[in-house]
Amino acid sequence: MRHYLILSIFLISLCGCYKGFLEKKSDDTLVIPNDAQSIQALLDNTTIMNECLPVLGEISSDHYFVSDAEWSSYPVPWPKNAYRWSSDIYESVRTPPCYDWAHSYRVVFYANIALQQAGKQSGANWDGIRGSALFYRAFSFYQLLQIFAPAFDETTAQNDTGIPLRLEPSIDEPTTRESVERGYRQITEDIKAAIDLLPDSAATLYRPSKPAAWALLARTYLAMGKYEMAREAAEECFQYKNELLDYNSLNATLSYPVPALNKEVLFHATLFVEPFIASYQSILPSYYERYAETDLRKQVFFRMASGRIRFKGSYNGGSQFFGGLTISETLLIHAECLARKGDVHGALNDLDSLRKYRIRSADYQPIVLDSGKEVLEYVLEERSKELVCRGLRWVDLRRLNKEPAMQRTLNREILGTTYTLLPLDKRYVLPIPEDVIELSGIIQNPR
Amino acid sequence: MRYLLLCFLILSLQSAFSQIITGKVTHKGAPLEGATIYELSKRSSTRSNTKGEFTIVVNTGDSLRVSHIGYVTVLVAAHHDIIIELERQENEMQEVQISSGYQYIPRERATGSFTILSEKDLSRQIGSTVSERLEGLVPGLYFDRRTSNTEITLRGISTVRGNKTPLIVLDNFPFEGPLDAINPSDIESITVLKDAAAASIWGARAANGVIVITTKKGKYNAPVKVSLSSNITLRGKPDLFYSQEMPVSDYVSWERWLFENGRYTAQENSSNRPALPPVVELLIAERDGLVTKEYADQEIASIAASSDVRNAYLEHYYRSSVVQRNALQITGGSATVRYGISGGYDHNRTNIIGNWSDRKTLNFNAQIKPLSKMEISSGFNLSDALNTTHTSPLFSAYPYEQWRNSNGTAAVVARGYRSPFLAEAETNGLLDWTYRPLEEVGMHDNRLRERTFAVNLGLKWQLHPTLSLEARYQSQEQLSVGKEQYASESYYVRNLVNSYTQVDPVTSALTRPLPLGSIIDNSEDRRQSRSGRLQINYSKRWADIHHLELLAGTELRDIVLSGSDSRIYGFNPVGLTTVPVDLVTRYKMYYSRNATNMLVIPNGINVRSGNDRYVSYFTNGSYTLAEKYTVTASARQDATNFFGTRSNQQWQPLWSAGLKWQLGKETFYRFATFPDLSLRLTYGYNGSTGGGAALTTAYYGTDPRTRFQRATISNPPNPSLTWEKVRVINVGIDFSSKNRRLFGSVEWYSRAGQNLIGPSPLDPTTGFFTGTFSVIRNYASTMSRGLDIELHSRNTDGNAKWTSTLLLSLNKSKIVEYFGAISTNTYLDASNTIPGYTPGYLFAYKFEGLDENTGDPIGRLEDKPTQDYSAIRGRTSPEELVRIGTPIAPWFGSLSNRVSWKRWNLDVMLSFRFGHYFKRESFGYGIGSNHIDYLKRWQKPGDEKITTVPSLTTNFNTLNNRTLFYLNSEPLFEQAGNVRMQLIDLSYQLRDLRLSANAANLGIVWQKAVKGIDPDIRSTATPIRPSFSVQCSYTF
Repeated sequence: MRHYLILSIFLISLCGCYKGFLEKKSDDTLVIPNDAQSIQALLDNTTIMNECLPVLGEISSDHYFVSDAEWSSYPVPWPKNAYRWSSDIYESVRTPPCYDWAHSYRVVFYANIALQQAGKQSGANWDGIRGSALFYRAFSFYQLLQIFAPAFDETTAQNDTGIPLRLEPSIDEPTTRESVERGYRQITEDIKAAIDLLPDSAATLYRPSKPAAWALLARTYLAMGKYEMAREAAEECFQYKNELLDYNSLNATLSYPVPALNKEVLFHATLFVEPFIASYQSILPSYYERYAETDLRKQVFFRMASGRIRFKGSYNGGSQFFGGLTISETLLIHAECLARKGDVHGALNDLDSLRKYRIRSADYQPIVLDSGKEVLEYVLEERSKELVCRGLRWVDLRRLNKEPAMQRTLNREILGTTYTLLPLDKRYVLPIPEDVIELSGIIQNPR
Repeated sequence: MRYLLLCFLILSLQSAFSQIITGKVTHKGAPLEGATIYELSKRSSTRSNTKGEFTIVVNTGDSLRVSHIGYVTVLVAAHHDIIIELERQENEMQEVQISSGYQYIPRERATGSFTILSEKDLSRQIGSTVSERLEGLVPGLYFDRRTSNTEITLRGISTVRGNKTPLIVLDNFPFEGPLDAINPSDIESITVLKDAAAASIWGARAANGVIVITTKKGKYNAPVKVSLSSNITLRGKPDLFYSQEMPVSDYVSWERWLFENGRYTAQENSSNRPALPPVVELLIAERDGLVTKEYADQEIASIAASSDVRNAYLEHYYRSSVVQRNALQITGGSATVRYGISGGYDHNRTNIIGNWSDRKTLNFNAQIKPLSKMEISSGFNLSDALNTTHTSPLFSAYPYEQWRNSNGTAAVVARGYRSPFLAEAETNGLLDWTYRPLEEVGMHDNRLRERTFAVNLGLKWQLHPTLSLEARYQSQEQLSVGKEQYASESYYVRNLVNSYTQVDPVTSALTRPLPLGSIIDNSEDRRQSRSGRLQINYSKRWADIHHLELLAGTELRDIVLSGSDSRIYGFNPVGLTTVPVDLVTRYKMYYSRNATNMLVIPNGINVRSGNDRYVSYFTNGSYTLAEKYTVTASARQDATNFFGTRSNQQWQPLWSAGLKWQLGKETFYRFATFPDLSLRLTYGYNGSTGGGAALTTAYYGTDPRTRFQRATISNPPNPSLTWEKVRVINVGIDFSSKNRRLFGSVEWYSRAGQNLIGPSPLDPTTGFFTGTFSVIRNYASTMSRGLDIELHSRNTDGNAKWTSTLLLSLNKSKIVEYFGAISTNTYLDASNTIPGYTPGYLFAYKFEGLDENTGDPIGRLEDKPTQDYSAIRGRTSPEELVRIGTPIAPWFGSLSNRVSWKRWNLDVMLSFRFGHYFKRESFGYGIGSNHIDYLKRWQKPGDEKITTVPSLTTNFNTLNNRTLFYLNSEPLFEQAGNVRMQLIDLSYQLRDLRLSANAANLGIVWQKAVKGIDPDIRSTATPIRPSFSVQCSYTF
């Protein structure tokens, strides 16, 4: 009996030793991201976090065209259909897929992993991580709302169907669509929380910072039509950073005259490269002609290549379209807000401080306008000239459609057929990719 | 005193019905302990003691049945002082005990499904590897050669994406290396564990069955035995002309047709200037007016008359392979010590000129008994293998290319880039950029050295007559060191140097960022495994009818893997100098017309590290009543670090239960044809890790934008992931006729794979995707049912002994559930997983012949004939596809006949497979297509009556879909049933000397469909050539 006892004790005592034994990772090239260093490394993955902004809005915008020949031979249906505002853009063709939805939710997923791990951890490292994660998540939700949900309307936002708001990195949690109001509330709350946690300036412009967060808040309030709050946010941003890039100092003959990460940039991000616009886009001559000859942007932003106008003014310093946040954009938000509340002087002041760096120095003349309406129109005109090919045109079309005076009807002619998109058309909300609908069971947007 | 008492008893009972008798059981006159003596009328039994003696109470005129494991049971009339001589059973199956890797079980008490192969069975295939020797000897074991790696499966498929091969156990511990790394001459026996009851002791790694290998050991009280053996195996050059290629002259006209129809334009205009066939280069030169038409036609005509390049391969690249194996074994033992020492030397001259490998092994094991109740065992294994490759595969893309010019010098063949460009580059000062196969022979120096060192320690201690303690430990280290050196003159180095050569835009001066000189790739991999096991065994027998055996224990296993690769540029063997290179800057590729085609110099640096850990508890018990009824049960709990640290998912309990009824021992059993009959039934679960992780994992890299460290998620948090498991039911009948003239077994099984792990579609809203929207989940289930029949017969006795063995297996495996996206095109994929069908089940497009005017194939869509190939490809529903059949033979097995006459012994084994299908290759209508079906293509109206091969077409918009339709259509599918001559083995035994000669893999002797195509191998491979071996072994 004694033998049994000794052996039993021995065997049982072994059990205790196994726990640590099994905690070893099975492949050392894999990291289990749970410390501040590895979580920061996740957020520093610029390919995923900064370079995959959605393109459907840009494809649907009105500043460019694709020639009939190139449109016909383009092999992927969804960009062609989005270009002509079709009801069904995907045509059940799954490959290559439209990644807009998946790319944006991947940023949300990474941010949620970071937030989950940050949990109740404290310390400056973790504060920065939490702030960054909230910023990235808010930025992604903002992008998704501009494409897959109706434009914000105070009166209907409670009932308008928005986007799923995933706040946990679980793959088992069901997907449900929340209201538009709930979506914007999540964004503004996340940004406000992030502002308290983010540093005044980050080690790289690929990482968010306090002024970037204020600029994102200003952009969000502008999309919501909350001009007063947008103005305040813009002013908060200027507390940290307010320098502009003088286009007089740029060499317009370069392939890409605007350097990346220049002093105007608050947060660097680019649109996903979709060849339909990246390679085949030509700027409409009518759009190009809106720039005065003295406007440096005419040479800095565009070049003529075999008879067509190509965009070369990306703040990426390369061919990828910039979609991040800049001082100039925030300044234009500020100007619009002032113009809308009738502060003509303030708005003109903002415009002048920008224009003096955009117009050839020798030819620069301050603007003289009296009426608030004229100033607002001027601000919006300046906005479309300054922020071309940034994914913002679509956002502006959607929000300005809410104001009858600002409404625009879009037309396109492809192979002799004219396609029209009327203001407030339900096709201003793009359809969700079909595999998402199939696998999640959420409802599709009506087109 | 005992004798007095005995005499008294005998005397006092003589007048009664019953009497006590004494007797002795012997084998060849020597006492035999442990024989069971069973009195038939009283149903009492006893056992013989160490001297072979027994006493038993009998009725007058009664009979005794005397049995012993490994001996032929006899029935004798009881009488006093009876001496019963038992004969050894001829069948090794009964003689060898079943080794599960944890214990030895007598076959009589085993409820599960086992196949045991003795040394004698294995020695029939001399000169071959362990896996080759298993073929045709184990019912249910299937060798699937449809891919480049032969996959061994046991009783069908029970996983979808996981490993399908059985676990290999070598001397009690799992063996992580390939089966063929084990030296076959060291093997004493192999036990294959096939069902849950047999394999469940291996728990979470047993889902595919277990192959338990036991090496040769010494025996106590045995004289020193030395055996020497040496064999040599020859195998011919591969049969390159097996591949069905069109004649050279036709290939030339086919290339001309392609050129004339503009099919080379894209390649010609490609910015990377890929090499074009010599015929096409001539045609381009003619078109561009660089040569005259007469010259081009004359050159092309001479090309069309050249000999097939496969002849050059056979002459300059391949040779017959020769494998030599030499082994020496010494075993022996006294009452307290036993030992075995073996050494081996193998040399393999492979079938590629300049390449060879050799292996030296040394094994030692010893068991000592320091106390009568304690056995300590120790041993080590050393192995040192060296693989040497001096010739990397020779490249020659076109069948008409010559390797030797008419003046005897090495000829250039088309490779890399267009020949005019290569000539121009050379005049611009680059290195010679041409490829000459004959000059590449020996340019490569690749040495891979693999050393293994293993130490085993064991202790067995009989604490109590019923209780013993066993502890085992094994430490194994495998080190493989590779060095691959490309000579500076080799094409590999010249091509890299030239590709990276930079041209100064102003001065046109050349610089070489990738330096001249040899390139050396070093690699080092180390695998260290440590295993420990502690086990208690309990065995009790009481009242002669109860027999209980229990064991329980725990096991720990730790496998550490580490490795690294590195590369040296510009190595100069004279002076051993190297040149540092810039691994950061991106360089424009010299061959590219595209200025943005820029690459960094490959750094060749890689670091690997990993650690697999397993912990398990196991228990196993059997209870036998009256030697007729046996109940077994087994349970095991496993954990690994694979799934992450959530212990609730790491632990996997697996169990089994079994029953055996030895019906033949029942007194009411009177069926004279099969006096021995037993029934077995088992049920239980085996497991498999299946891959995947429950924890979030990521991998590091350097961000290209910020140069900060970045991480990418490779696995999302997946807490619901759990192990794969297989539920196995096995029903078996073992039978034997009188004197075992005919014996065998029939087993029926069902194996249900559950929780099978693989990629299943995932809602993109979750935010996890790496290229595809899927995640590793428990997503599928399978069902595999079948029969294994084993039949042995002794056809003649006497001087000429003839025995036959038939193994016949039936297996039907199918996918039951599969949570993955399935489109019609996936049905046509060779690796499909369609619910209701065998994995890889063959589906085809309906084929309605060829169009009588154009020779275009006609398909069927929505019940109407059609030639709209893109509609067929895009819109055919799975229901409209033709179900052809399974690619894995449902019926397979082998028939062996063994004849021995005096000292001669002849073995002939045929293997067969029936009921499966395969898809033939055919002509592909594109650049490089060279299938001989080209000759059978439709060429004129009327041909549609004699051929199914479509015409050539210039309708290139639909060609791709037309070809894909044709290559997946009905006419290309054939029945694959075949019979092969697996083995002929002849041996001659002269006292201690045994000589044998053997021919293996003699090829197909009968097949159901087309001749000349081996349906069981990959369509692009050539069949295994027959091998011929001779062996001489001497034992004294």
